[in-house]
Amino acid sequence: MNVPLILRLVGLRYKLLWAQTRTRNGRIALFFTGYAFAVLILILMTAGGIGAAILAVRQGKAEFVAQAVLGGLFLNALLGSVVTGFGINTAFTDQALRRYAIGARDRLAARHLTGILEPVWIFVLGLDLGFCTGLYAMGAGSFWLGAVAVVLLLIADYLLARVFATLIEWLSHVKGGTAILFLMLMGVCLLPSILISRLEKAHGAKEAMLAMLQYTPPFAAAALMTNPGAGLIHQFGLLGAWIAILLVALAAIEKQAAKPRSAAAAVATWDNRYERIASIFGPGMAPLVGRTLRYYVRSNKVRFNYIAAIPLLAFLTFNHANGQAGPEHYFVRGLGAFVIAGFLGTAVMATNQFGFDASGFRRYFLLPVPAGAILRASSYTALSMGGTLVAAALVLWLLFAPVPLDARMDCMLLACGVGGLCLFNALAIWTSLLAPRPTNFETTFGNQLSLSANVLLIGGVLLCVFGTMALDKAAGPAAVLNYWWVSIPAAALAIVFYLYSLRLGASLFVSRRERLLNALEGRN
Amino acid sequence: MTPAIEVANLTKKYGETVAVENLSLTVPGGTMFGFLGPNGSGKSTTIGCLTGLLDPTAGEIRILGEPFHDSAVALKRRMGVMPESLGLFDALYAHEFLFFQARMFGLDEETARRRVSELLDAMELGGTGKKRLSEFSAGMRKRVAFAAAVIHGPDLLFLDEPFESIDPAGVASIKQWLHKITAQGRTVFLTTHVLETVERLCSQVAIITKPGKLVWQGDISALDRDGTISHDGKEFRTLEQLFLHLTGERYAQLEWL
Repeated sequence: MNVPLILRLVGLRYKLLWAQTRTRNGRIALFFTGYAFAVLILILMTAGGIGAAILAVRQGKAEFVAQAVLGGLFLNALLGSVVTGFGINTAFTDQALRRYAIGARDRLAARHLTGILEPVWIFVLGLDLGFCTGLYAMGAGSFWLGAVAVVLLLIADYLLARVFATLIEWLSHVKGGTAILFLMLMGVCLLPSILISRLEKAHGAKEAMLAMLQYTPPFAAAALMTNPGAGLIHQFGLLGAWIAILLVALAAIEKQAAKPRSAAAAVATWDNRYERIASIFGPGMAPLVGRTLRYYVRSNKVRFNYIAAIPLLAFLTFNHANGQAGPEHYFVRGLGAFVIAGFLGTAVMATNQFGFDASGFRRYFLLPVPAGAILRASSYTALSMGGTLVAAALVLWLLFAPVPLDARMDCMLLACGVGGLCLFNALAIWTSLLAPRPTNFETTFGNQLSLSANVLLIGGVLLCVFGTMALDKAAGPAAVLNYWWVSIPAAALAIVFYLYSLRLGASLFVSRRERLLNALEGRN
Repeated sequence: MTPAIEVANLTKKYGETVAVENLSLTVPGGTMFGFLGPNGSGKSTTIGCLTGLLDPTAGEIRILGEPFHDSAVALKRRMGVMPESLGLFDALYAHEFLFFQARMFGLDEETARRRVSELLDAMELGGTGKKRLSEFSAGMRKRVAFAAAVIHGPDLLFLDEPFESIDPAGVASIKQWLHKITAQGRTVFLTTHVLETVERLCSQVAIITKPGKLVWQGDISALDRDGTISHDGKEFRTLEQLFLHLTGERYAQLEWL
């Protein structure tokens, strides 16, 4: 194995990350990431890691708490990386690595070593090690055994994330894959609440479930950490087996995904659907909106997020694991879900409207139309696609939500949907113009958004979800419903803000076009 | 005939860096005009300013007799541009991209479809059906970009390195079409580093050097007629000799190679 070259490639990955800080946005991103990283490490390692360990040992439940902490971190890292795309970016593809004098095995090692050394996994490792240190300090486990277990657990977590990501990426390319993805997502969103209700009812189900969980990587790592004497070989063997199985699964899926897709059709088929839909914006805008619509519909990222949006919103609204259950509480949480409903599906493209155009961005300025029309066409497309999600969410709410019909509720939900749609799309205009990033159109995964776009998307979702939870707790559904009319002027304000952003953005689009060109073509 | 392009004291700066300095140029209508210069001399920046992609820092540009700044949208309708980076929308199929381009330049749906089909056949891209532009080879992408530049029958055609990556048969076809375009009184403004091609194709040539300074402009038909071009009291038998003399480009020696 060519270890020096592989290590140099890892070094190159970090150099590339560092190179991003040469831009103004990169420096801001670095500052915030560094700050957030340091603060989180401090808080979580002390309070979440060592603190949890101390508590666990004092209560004599070290293994149980270790299972919960490691399991929680394992699941959060897995979901976080698959949903947000952090930590599963492919720094170097197998094809890109072929230019170096290394064999297939070395390329595999280089790819996964650069992958697992992404900052997010190091962050997770820090948290796991913090917990391990806490247990050791309290005399409840072996540090070195725990550290090895944590490293193996991290490898299993990383591999599982890659298996999911590659599987979803592959499914989004094959025929019928979208339907399978939709079913998978529905399963992921609905399974926890079904399982919880079953476990509560069925006698002995909880014990059976716990017995099954003993065979999972976090439980094996927890056993190694807190109970090193018993079943050492068994637990190590279990973690090793998981890693081996995941490696084989990953290799198989990657092999399948690398197969060339179906051959190109010999004859071009004319499909004017998109232009016909786009003609509602007038004949002048139809080709532009039609083109952008094709981009949205063909983007794997958008397609995945679009089909995931409704199940995710349903999960956020009706999952009562962390909140109060009941129709009126569903309604309050539904308000937050409706605010983000119109944005979730399209955000990856709407927050970086020209990032997917590559050199095509240049062409916009060669077209015989005012440049502002390009921005309008792009934004109208995101707005229309988001609007259909709001409409679909409202129809599904009216048909299936276990909430009695109330015109005030429906009016509030609609106003929240429209207001959120306009507000987020207005902000997306600004992130597209002020923080654009060249983005790979073909990938489904990997977070390629700018810092501002990430703040808008992730921050927006968290604010809406936790904001409505807080509102539910603080004011209660009845008080919220009493002020139903507030939602109407709020929505109107969001519409005005959107129109204003569109107008101001159009002139900014013209004046900043050279900067945009440089940013999108990779020049600082 | 009205000059196709008139440029007076064009300057383009990026901060403190001067990309084009006081460039004045006249391109006669109905000609095949070669715009030459070493790498980084400002050719693409000049084309960017002439086509509306970039804002000049100073200077005046008249296209087809009209000030470009005042009637950019109307003038763009009469121009066809094949930029150096091609400017393709990679997620589209070739026919979708060309149809979009045709519709944006005001062709009706029927004419647009007909021209797209004819161009795809002429460019030997007819069998690429459901293959996205991102999957095309470099030569195929160049053909698509050329087709996009000519689909609306422009009066003025800008071509930045049009022949690079295209196979000999494709180059021959494009050259034939370019001759046809200029024979109809329309103008072609092209840049390339293949000086033999310029010698054969163009009648007028301008040579610039860093930073975007015009060092020579003239008729190169004397090369065909007399076998030499005179400049500064010297005789040059090829355009390459004249180019190297004017730009001061040299062959570097690498001892270890």
